[in-house]
Amino acid sequence: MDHERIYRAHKTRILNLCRLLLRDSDEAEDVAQEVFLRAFERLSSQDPPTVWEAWLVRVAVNACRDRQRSAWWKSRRKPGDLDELAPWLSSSSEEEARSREWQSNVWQQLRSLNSKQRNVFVLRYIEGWSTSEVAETLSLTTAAVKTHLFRAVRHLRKAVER
Amino acid sequence: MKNCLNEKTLLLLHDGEGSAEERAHVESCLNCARRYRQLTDDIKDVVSILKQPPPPMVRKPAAYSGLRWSLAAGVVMGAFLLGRMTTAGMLGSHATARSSQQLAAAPQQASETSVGPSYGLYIDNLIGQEDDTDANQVAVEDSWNTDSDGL
Repeated sequence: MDHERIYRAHKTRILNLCRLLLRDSDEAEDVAQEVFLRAFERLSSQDPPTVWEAWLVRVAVNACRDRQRSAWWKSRRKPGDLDELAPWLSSSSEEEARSREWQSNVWQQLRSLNSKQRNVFVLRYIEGWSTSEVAETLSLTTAAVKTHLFRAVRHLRKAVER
Repeated sequence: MKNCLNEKTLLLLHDGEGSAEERAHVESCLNCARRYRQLTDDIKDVVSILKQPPPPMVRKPAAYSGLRWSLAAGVVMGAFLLGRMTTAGMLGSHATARSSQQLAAAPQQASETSVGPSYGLYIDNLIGQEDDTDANQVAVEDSWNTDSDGL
């Protein structure tokens, strides 16, 4: 019963995090499932985590990093080989179309960032971690985190230029 | 304008870092205040978009995949044809060598075995005689002996 409760409560959040950290939505689903499998293993152990959300987020970040580092993943995902936004078929207002275009541009820009820039941006601004937490988790110096963050922001701002 | 802050410093200020002097500058400089506001708004927009689920994506076909497959097919085809031509060439040279060896060996074999009748027939045709083979053979041998003696 606990299994289901944990899965229902955190599935969306973990899947979204994996989608942000990995450029491929299929990969993200794979990794998210892997994270929950580890959670269920941990649940049956003698020492389950007290705060599941933080534990799951950390496991998801590490699993995504492992996936990014694997040679297979690197060879599979080349810089130009990105998913594209599906064509918007329904008729929409000008404002809606613009919003849709922004959304598409932001996701495309995020996917075109290198993995360090993407990880730093997501953990710092989406997950709200501190610079030192990000540095510790990603095995970087705080100066490197700031540099990656600056580059990521500069790149992503292009998507929402007015 | 001369002391205006660069983009990196503005980002540090946005993240709660940077010196008091820099913060004071942003508050007093209209240009930097506008840039700082713009940066804050842009980050807010990006974060709000990324907190929503991603729009539906379609897998882009790998660049030049058709060309790559065509090249691969071409290479396989080329290798196949080259193999065929090489094999055919080798067989052909074997066959030529064998036939030339056979031709070279033929008179020798013929002289050892059945040269008589064939040469006999040839000479029959030449001289138009219709004698039996044995007689021709004797005549040929005699004429050859005579010729060789004459030399």
